[in-house]
Amino acid sequence: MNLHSLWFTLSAEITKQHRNRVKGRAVFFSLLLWPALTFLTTYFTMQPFRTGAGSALSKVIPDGRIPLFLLSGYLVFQLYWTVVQAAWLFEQERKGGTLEVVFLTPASKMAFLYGRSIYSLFHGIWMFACFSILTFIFLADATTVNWGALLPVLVLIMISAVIWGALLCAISLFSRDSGLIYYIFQAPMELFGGVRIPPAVFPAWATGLSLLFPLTYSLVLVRGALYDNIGISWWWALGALIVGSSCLVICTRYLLVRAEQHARVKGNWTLF
Amino acid sequence: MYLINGDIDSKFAIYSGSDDYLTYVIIGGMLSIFSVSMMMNVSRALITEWREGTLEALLLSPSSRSGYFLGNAVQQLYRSGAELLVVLFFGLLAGLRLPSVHFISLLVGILLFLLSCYAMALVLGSIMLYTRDTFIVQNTLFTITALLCGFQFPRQYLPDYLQAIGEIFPLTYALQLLRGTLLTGESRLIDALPIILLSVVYITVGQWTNRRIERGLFERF
Repeated sequence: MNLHSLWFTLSAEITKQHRNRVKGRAVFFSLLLWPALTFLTTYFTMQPFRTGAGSALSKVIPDGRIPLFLLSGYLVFQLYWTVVQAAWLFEQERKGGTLEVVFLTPASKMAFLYGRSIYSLFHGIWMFACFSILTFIFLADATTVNWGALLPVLVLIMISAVIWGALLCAISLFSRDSGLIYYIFQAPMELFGGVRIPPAVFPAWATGLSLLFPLTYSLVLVRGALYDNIGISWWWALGALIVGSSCLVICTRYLLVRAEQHARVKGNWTLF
Repeated sequence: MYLINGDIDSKFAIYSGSDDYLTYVIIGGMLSIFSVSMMMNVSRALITEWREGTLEALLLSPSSRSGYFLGNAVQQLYRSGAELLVVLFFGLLAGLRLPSVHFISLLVGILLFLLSCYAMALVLGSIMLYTRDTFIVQNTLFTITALLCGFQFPRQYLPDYLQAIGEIFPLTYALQLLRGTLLTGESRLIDALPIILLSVVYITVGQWTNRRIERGLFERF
């Protein structure tokens, strides 16, 4: 498998996804309006909590920075959420009968999975840009941002999100019901990943769960860069994200091979 | 722990009439789940008939349309009611504490809450039928009501213009009344007036638009 054919498969999958998924109004609602309204609701939900000096909240969120805390949370959550959608829509591939065609061609299946995930990320990237602008409108003091750390971290998070999306797609290869992905990764990822509630106030079992999501590490990195608070835990999160993502690539490859074997044993002439 | 050690600001007690934040949010969460499930299923009734091909038969029959919707609502009531009991059970485990509630005001509050869900579902249903879409219409309404009706936080925290927009929904007043009854044990029945007025307006508009849309439905397709 040479580089040219890998690129060919990748771009073919991206083009296919683009043609399938750009459907006018729905994109505006699901990617911009609903997240923005949900963000506002969460912002006001935090209002009854005391924020001044000595309050419980000020110990975990730097004083007066709740909008920035929540916005950075939503921003990174949306990045991971866009790739979860790639896996969520995987069942269409089975129902449409296109999955077996992909498996029968000599195309690289890894490139196929990464193509799906990359497209999903770019499908949501314009929304990501809108959210970023909002972040900086709310951000009163841009001088505390460590730009040298923030920009590379954002690139790293995008790569990690694509890897995460491809892994979830590989998991979807085992079952027709990819709706399951939605239930596991919508609310639990948002709650335990630390989007709204700082992981520092979690009980131990919830902290354990939060460590399973790359979102958690990404939030540590982004918030550290935004507040210019780069300490030992920041470097640990960076290491965990890089090592974790590399392991996930290997897991994706393994799951893909197992799923193909599984399909050959359990499938009939139409494979699935 | 999850609630940031219950470190609540002083305005909360003034706005909500109680300093029991946990009970406040649990009641809000329960009623939010209940209202979404009620509104969603009643409003989807006609478009589901259309999608399944039974709408034509329904429209040709001489049955009462209000009876049809009320039947749907009653069927939904015991389904959502079962859901509510489960949430209530977990709510009590999590720390929900209800004061001694006046039985009649509670009953009135529940009835008015059901009425406002029903009224909003009628209008929502006619929008769904008109746009041929359920996904975008219902999710947009539910994200808006989550923000404006005061399920998770007192509405007084919202800017004035958002509070004013929230007042076009009967659900906002019904929630306020029922929560007041549950949370503080006291309620003023004068608060029932806007709920009844708005519900009547919604039901009238819903019935009228439903009839018009049904009439045009088969001409357009």
